[in-house]
Amino acid sequence: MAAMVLAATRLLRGSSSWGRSRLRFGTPAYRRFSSGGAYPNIPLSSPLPGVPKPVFATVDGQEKFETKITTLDNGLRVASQNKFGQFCTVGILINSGSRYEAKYLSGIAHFLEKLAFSSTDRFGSKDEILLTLEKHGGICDCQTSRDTTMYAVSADSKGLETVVGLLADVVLHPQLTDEEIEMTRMAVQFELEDLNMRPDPEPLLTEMIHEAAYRENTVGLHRFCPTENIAKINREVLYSYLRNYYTPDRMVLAGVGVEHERLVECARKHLLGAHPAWGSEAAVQVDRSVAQYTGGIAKLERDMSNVSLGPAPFPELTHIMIGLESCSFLEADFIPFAVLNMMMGGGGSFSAGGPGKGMFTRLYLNVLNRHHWMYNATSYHHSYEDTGLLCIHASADPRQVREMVEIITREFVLTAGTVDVVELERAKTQLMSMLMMNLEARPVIFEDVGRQVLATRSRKLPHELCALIRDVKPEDIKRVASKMLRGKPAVAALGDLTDLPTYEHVQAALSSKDGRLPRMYRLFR
Amino acid sequence: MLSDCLSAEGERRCRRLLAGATARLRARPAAAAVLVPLCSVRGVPALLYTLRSSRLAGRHKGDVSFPGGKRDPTDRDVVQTALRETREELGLVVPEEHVWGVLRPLQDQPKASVVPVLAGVGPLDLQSLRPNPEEVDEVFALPLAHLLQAQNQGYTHFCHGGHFRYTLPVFLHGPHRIWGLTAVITEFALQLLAPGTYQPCLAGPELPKG
Repeated sequence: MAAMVLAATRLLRGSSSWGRSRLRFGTPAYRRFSSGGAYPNIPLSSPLPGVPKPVFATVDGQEKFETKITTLDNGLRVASQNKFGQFCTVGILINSGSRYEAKYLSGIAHFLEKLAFSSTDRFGSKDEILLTLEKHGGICDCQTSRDTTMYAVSADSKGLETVVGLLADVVLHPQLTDEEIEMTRMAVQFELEDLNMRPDPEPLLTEMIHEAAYRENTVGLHRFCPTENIAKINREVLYSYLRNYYTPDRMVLAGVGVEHERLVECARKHLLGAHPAWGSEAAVQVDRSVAQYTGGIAKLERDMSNVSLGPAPFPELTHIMIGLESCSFLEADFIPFAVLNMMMGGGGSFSAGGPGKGMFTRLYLNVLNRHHWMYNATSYHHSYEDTGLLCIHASADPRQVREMVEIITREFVLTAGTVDVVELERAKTQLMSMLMMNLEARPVIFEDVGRQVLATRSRKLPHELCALIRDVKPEDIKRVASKMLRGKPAVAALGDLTDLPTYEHVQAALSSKDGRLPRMYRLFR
Repeated sequence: MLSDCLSAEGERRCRRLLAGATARLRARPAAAAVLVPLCSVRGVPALLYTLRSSRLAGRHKGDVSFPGGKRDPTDRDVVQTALRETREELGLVVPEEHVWGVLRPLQDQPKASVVPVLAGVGPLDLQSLRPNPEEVDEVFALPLAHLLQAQNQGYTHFCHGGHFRYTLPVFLHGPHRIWGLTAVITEFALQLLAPGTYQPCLAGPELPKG
């Protein structure tokens, strides 16, 4: 009875074309294109007429392309990793950065980063460079870190010749006009002001922890130009630095998405036998200092009660970072340290969510989920060719600084304790998936190829790294954590520091069995 | 060539070179002294190092250093300090006749000087030492041949107040890295024992503050 009523209403409503097409669904599959009867019955198993034949990438589970490396006669290394795609990323990586500035004015690397891709012998201005790249759909960028400077261009593969010529010009023949240097001075000043004004203290804390851990040497030197040096750096100073550090044996030309032979040919044409703008005298004083970890403390008292840049208030926080020496990325222990860093994990309390959100790293489970007053607990691992630093950043209200420090020292001491197998497997899987996911992006592959060849003259492919990560056992974690805890800590503190424990107390806490700070008896807390 | 430095002829040469400094500095009060033990491990000349316990308080916990320590009121002179500390830390008794001389003193902190005392300890079996676990975590010996290889030598430039100040040597690829004052003392010893071979790199107008 109900079915008949339903059928009747359907028919009544469907007295128009809707009803007609509904009836039609019963007939054999016979779709008409909406344009009418032009192409009857094209099956999907044969190509459409009049359409160009597509070229498909094939995946058979094996990395078809390998990283090829050639060294030219002048010492320049050319490394390439071919990849399917229309675009390529090519760049020059140089062993130059703030760690080599001991005998120079601090801040040269910062200036060079801002001056990159400016006027050169062949290109009158930055705009000309950008216009040239635009013809090949390209973009360019320069990044410096403490030990590497990277000039990179992403463009269409057909423009490889132009791109390599442009890079050679930018690296070896910069004009560094007074006007550009003046603009750079303003840009550097602005960046320094921004560093001190922003609510996120992370770059400042990274500077401070390096300063504390590597007192006055190599990677502990200022990465950002100190204010007093801004006016002192000029063309002569920059050229004197470039003369010693922008030499072919310290450079790698890396490319992703290019054929190796083509890249080598372009390199031979533009980079072999080129006379740089600063003259071709031999490099005289190259700093080969070994980074010396000293440990120590760097404090910056600052009023953080009003850091918000907008109308919504920001809570007043004191930030601390406690670090210990780990190891260089060339050593075998680097992988266990990377797994340990992943196991500690952490982040901001906003992301912590609560139990069930799925944040299972130690700093989330043991710190952020248990102490609601901690705003932040994140673990970082910085690694260089001769040293490394594993540090934990934490922030909380100034009145709870002492408890915060104790929680962090306890977490450090617990790293050398038992490691749960499930926890370790999770950390290893997270690390491997982060590695593989990041290496799907072409710029990341470029940086990986360039940095590895710069440091080790060869490249470990991702699956090799994954095999090394899979081999990490709980004993390895315990061993590297115990080794780490033997050393002296590095402490950086920013904000209201009235309740900050002394460095000796932090040192004692890290050497104790439970990570607790020595008891202090005070009448008023 | 290296084995010569342990021979009687080598010893006489070193004693002669150090005689002047020893006479001058021996009795002068100093805050601390260390012993630089030149020993022979399995027939190979080597220097003996200790790894200070990480349980010690103070600036040098966990560092590599030579056996030594602060001066005691009962010590007659710096040589006595060095020998006493070596006995306490390692259980190694070095008779005073085996002391070859005193090397250049260093400033650990302003007003606190450390005097290195060079002694020829002779053949040594590392297993026979009884290190005090409260002060010493590990004892190891580095052959002079290892220290004299260029690939094991490094240096670090140090700055202060934004300017380059001094350079300190570093010795690499041993069981532990040797840096700081210990590396400087090692450099003094190598300059004495292998004058033609070793290129010193300690430089700078100011002495390091440790």
